[in-house]
Amino acid sequence: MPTHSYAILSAGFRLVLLLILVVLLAYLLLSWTPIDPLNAYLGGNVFGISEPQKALLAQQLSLDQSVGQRLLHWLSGLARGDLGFSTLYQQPVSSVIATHLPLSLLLIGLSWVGSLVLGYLLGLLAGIYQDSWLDKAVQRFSWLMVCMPSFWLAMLFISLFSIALQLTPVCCAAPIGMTFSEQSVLSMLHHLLLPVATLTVVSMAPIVLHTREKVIDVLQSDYVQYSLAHGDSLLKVVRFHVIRNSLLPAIVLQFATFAELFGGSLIAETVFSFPGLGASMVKAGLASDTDLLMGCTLISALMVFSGNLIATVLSRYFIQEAGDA
Amino acid sequence: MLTVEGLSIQSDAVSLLSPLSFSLKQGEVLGVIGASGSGKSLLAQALMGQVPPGFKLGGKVISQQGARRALAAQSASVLDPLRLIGSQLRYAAQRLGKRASTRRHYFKLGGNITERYRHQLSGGMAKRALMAQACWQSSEIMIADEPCCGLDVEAALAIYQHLAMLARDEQLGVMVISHNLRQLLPIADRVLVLRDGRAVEMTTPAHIRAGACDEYTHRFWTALPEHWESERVAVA
Amino acid sequence: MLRLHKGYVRRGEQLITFPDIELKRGEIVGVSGPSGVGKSTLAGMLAGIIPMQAELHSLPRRARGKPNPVQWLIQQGEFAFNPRLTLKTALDESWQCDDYLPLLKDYGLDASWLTRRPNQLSGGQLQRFNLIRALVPTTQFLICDEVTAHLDTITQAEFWQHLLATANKRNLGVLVISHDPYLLEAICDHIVTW
Repeated sequence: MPTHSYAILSAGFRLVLLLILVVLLAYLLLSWTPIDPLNAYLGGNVFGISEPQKALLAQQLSLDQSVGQRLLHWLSGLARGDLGFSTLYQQPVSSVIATHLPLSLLLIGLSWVGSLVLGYLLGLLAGIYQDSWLDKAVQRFSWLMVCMPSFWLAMLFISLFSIALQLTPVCCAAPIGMTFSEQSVLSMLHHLLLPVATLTVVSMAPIVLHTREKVIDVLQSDYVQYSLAHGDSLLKVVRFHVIRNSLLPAIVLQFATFAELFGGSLIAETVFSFPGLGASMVKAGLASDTDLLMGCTLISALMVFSGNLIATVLSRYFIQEAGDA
Repeated sequence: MLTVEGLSIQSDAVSLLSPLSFSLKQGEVLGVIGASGSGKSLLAQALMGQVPPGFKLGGKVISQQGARRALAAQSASVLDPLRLIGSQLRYAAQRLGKRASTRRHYFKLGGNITERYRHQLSGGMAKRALMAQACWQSSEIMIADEPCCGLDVEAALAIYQHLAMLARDEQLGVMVISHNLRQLLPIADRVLVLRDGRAVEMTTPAHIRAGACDEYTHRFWTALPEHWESERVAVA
Repeated sequence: MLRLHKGYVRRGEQLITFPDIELKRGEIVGVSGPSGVGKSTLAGMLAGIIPMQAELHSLPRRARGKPNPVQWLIQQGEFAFNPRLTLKTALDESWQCDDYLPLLKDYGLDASWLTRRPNQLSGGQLQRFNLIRALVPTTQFLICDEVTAHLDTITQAEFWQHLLATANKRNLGVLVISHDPYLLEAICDHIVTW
């Protein structure tokens, strides 16, 4: 159908434009960083090597070329499918991403589902029992979470659950010495518990508040009032009318907040020393590992774009009402 | 049979509907006429137990044990925007249970209505869906609020005919609120006239046509275009 | 003079042709046809809201910065007004002065109602305000699109009585779109059937 292929083309065009702008901006910002890449590479020990060694190292790291030249070099590599070499991990960028991305996806994925389910349920209850103590508590909790810095909450969780109560591990994705996949499933969940909890709690506030408003709106609508006037119980009305009309907008919203979750994962992974892509990205930034940082930036741009695209498609598919629903 | 005693909608300051008393038998068609703002829709809502916020419902509405009353609303906003019409009609029907099966051939609903969403329906289709929604769930009384507002003559006629059939064949008491006297009077057994929230009188179509009714009521009849004297404005 | 010859509009895959319309000032022409056939689209085209597509057409010239001499009145008064504005603001927006005040009495409207919002007035009252809003001095033609379909018979009769009196006084051309054949018979000089 003509409209569909037009939509796909236009989405593709927007993606390309987005990636170009992201690449340019990221590279520019990187080139202005005050961190001395040589110093970062040598772990602060830049005075431990001689001048000729410094020059050789600079050449190896392509630091003798201009920003423009380095960008072109990277882009030509990208065109060949080569994401470059990470000076921090001493591996190709693609293998760093392959190792670390699955963990991040797991963390973000679980938090996404968690904040949608919990957020929706709390919003639904708050809307149904509007003005009750439950509603007021849920609202205040949500506004608090909107203001709460995620790293602070993370540290709070660690000091309470890991140190004081000794219920959860203090850090990392697996016990010391093991990789993530080597441990038992129970142990995996044990290590995921606090990072997922942090991300879930912090990102669920918008869903709670939005769902609450939508549920109140639906409960006051003509079609719900009609059903109630014809003898339906509140439970029946919630099951038949309210859930469908409030869950679909919540899902659309949740897809659109993918970007926030990705950003939140950078902080959560750093605080919990969780070896995901977010943590790698932070380390790459601090070490001026250009190739790795650019690779991670591309991945994050793609993820955010996909989230927003799914949200757009879903909203067009579900919420087709002209005027007000 | 539905018996209404002293039904009113009042607040401390204002009375929207003054105490009304009347009855509606099964198999009867009761028409309700009045100017806009006279309380016709408020009467329909009051019979369903709904009042505007800040107002109280007074009086009694007495019906048989287990009898179901249903309203065919004026606007399609009483339909869920995210559900297929067919699914909503089945949902309405299960309030009535098995008795709803005889109602399916009223209002001529085809797949072009049941397999659509409310925003995809034209005015005429929406009205038929609203009528069906009410008739599939009422066992005693069905209230039709302006069933044909904005429809053309054939579509309106079809709906009024179905309403008359419902009363006659399914023995429902049908209350029709309308300002389309032309099509209401042929099917109504009695007519209730409202003015400013008050009942003017309860009369019959024959009386209205003959003028053997309240002067205000008769004005509705004489105000029909076919009864205007030929004092059409002369073309300059 | 309002003229439309071989007008048409594309709706998706379909081509809808309009009947030929010819309306002089002082004339009352009716248009009847089944629902959904495109009567409101025709009204929109004549009122200049939808782009005109016709072999031949003639509309009164519209002076820059002035209201359209062809005014379109829609079916329901409730949707003709911004619900957040008072009636006074709505009428001032159209008239740009308060010369409409004498008209209110002729139409049985109380001046104190001007401070109300649309949801505080009945359908019949709103349609009359809608009409007054369209009766600015520059108006030459009125397109009445099912304007009394939602009104009771008494209000409908009074509305047309007032409208036709004004049309006669100001020599306006009136196009009446309706599916009430009796109404068209009673008020129109001639009727175009779709």
